Amino acid sequence: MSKFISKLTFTLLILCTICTTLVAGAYNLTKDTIAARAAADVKESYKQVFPQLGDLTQEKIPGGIIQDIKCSKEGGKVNGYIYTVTPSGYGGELTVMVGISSPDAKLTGIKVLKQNETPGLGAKSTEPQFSGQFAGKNLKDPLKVSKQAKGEEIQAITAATITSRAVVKGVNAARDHYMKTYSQGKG
Amino acid sequence: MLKELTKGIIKENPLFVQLLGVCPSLATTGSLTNALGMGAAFTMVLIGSNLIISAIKSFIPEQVRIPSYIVVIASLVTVIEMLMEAFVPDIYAALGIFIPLIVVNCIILGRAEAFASKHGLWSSLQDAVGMGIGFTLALAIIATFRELLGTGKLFGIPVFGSGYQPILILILPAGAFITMGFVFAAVNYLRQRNEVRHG
Repeated sequence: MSKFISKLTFTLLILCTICTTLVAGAYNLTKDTIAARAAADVKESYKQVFPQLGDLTQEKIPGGIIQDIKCSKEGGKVNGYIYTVTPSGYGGELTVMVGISSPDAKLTGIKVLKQNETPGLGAKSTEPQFSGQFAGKNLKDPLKVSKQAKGEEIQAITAATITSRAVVKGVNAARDHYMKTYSQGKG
Repeated sequence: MLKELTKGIIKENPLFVQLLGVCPSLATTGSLTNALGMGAAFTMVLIGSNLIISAIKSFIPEQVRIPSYIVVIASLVTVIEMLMEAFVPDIYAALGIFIPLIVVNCIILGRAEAFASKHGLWSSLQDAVGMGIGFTLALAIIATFRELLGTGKLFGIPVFGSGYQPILILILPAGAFITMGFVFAAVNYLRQRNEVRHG
């Protein structure tokens, strides 16, 4: 009986050792490539929300829904900030990247990185028809969402007002922090 | 010669006849692109797992076969996921989210237990390819209805004119159950009619 049990144990032990070795080997083989690719993806996202991207430095993170702030410098002069914010939408948190140019306080673009909104409704927040309208908006006043947008207002997605408001709330959180911290009261 | 290949497509279709793999089918049939992606990733993993299990079947004592299969399948899926992410990033970007779902796909374990552990390499390969095609086909049928009626598009390209009002519920989770129910009913009706006719 005990011989039988040790045979079972031994077989499983060998099998698990082989499998673990293979998984560990594959991990070591691929981890550098995967890390490099992830870094390139983030850089690409930065470029999309902030086309005049210079050298990036980390800024102090105030907390709240602001997850990350990067400062972009071109030739030693600050030309903008990139915020990552996580406002709450209809299906949980959205992760939104917001680019703000400095010192003229204009939105250079936004990108919804992660969302879990309703397909066909809130999920449209990732489409250029919605997210494209943010670029070039003046941030002197907080942005407003409207069902019939005019001027500096943001046109809400039909039947997804909660999502539209959430994205704008995230952008406004970045705007408020920018105005308070980086624009030296000029706003 | 190829009877192990063809049985998985209609006669023993994993989704329609064996009713295995319902959970990932609900999740990935919202669009035809996703369904085909899931089908492709699934077929790849099934071929790998059937071959490995068929090759090592004589070393595995019967009493510990299920844990052994699970270790093999989980390791295989993890390795494939990492290799794809590193070396074929475009395919990974399209299929990546389905790969973790494959670990919990009971068709893989089902084929290991019911087929690969009792048959040789060549038969197991045929079985995997056939079941893969059958599952992909089943997903594609459900996804076609859901995407076409739920969004008015196929592969993301509008099919109906702009006057079409999409039946939104079909691409929501509830719509997955509704569509699957209708498709299963239709498949059962056709199969039963066929059986009556052929005695």
